[in-house]
Amino acid sequence: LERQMLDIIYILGGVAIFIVFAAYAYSLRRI
Amino acid sequence: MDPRGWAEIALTLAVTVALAWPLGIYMARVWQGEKTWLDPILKPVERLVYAACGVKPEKGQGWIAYSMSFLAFSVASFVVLYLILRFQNLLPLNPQGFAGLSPDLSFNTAISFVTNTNWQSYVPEQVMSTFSQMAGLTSHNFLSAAAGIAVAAALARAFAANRAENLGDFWVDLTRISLYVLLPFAIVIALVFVALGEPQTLLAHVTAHTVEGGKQTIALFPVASQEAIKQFGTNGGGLFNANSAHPFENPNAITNFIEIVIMNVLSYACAIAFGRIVLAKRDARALVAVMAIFVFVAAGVVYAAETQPAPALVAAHADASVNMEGKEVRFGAPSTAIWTAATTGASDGGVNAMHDSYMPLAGGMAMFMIQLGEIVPGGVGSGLYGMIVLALISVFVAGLMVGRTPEYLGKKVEAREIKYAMLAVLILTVSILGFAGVAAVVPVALKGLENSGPHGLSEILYAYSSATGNNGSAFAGLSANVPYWNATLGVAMLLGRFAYAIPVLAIAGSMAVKPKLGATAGTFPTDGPLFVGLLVGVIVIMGGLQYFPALALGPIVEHFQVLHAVAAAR
Repeated sequence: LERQMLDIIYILGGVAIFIVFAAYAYSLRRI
Repeated sequence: MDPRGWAEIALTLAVTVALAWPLGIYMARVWQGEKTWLDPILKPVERLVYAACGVKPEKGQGWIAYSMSFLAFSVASFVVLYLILRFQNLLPLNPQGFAGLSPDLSFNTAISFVTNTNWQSYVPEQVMSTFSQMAGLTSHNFLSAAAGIAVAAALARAFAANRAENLGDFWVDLTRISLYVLLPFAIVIALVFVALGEPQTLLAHVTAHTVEGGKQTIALFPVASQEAIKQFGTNGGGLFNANSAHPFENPNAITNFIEIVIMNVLSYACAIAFGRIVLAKRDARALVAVMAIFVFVAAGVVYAAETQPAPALVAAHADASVNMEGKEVRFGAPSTAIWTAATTGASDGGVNAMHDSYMPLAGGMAMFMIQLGEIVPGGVGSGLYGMIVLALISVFVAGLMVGRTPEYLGKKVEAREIKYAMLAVLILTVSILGFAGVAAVVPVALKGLENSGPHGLSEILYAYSSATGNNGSAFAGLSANVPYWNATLGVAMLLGRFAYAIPVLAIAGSMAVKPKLGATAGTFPTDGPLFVGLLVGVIVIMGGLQYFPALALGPIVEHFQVLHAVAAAR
């Protein structure tokens, strides 16, 4: 169970970072 | 030092740059969607890929759509690769019977190969199945390299455009670069490597009988095919822990020479392709010159440093003319020096010697090459776009000096592009120095260090420089396969790849819509020695200013400790 939790944390954490990059790209349009 | 050593360094560099010319000309045709000599074979495959994936090549994308495609492809690759590595025990082609990787190692490795870094916190021959190597890692050696080159191609089209918003299509670039550039050349190189003695087999291992009568089990992989794209795509991740110091990955002086050449040739070729598309061949030559100058000087510094007396050799009254610790006897100091400059300058990260064993200034030079931003000549694609970012800053500085609006390749450089450029450049510093600073004081991070003092700091600094620069080489002396290092190095790799590439694509979008201007008497020439000197200065000063204090506490102070130790030993 602990490993499954870690899997979810690492996968979702990685995906979340990519979402932040996407938001970063959109924010650059305002410069 | 030996004149033959210097000749070897110069010859390797000259051959690399010479081969980059025809490759760059060919690649420009691929970037522009023009006809190539491989069309009869590959065009049907290309059409099939577009039909299967629903890609409409004629449509094109603006910079935001291009960025989103790049990110979408990368995040999907990350998730799939994570799952392959975690559950390799349930997948075929696992003759070694390896278990799945731990969650933190899967996270680190998936990011590492998606970002073209190939940092390896693990010992490949002890944990990685053949399926994971082939379907997971080697495929990303192609795709991550193609994605980096795609961004460079988009930037080239932006500079060539005249009031346009279309940068091309990411999916088309990814497909064409993989099919027409990486795949055919990797096949040819792999066959050459097989002929030169590299194994290419699905067998798990071979048993050798030693002269003492013992048995030795030696791991096997399809090495030649992996080695080809490992170097050609500036990936660098080895099938063996010793990387290209292992005789299966790099059996002899000829494979060593070829590997150095192919790990840099595509990066120079990107600059040449850029020059042809933008109709600025002389400007591209200036960029190539800057790249080559840095590689030559770095190789020279490493060669000079490695032929200084090492304290242990002096104390033992042994031959101290060359520091052979961590080096392969079959390669020697000059081959190791040019390899080091090529691999750290190119974000390749493959090693044929252990950087941790270098004299302090040589190790510091390797680190400094990475910290310059992986632009000399840089990773495939990423080296070129990193160099363009610094070229924009250079013309901006020159414009400030003479009081004119700066231009680069017929495009006005205004405040917006410089803001994007600075965002790109500064993210590297924030990641490298930020993560290294925290790791230097956090107990959980310090547990992985095998050295204290300046050398320990160098190990920390090198790790985050390598990860952020998407280089992937390790200084060694650091046990990084623990959750703290795997997680933080993974984040550093992501920042170095995407937080850099996104502002670059923003620059491309901004440049594409601008009118293309002709050169006037007031235009600062960007194709001559003056610009080469200015660009070299900007690169050194930016690197020096940002990293010099940290380097002073690591390799530089260690250099003086070595001088003191040598004097004491005498």
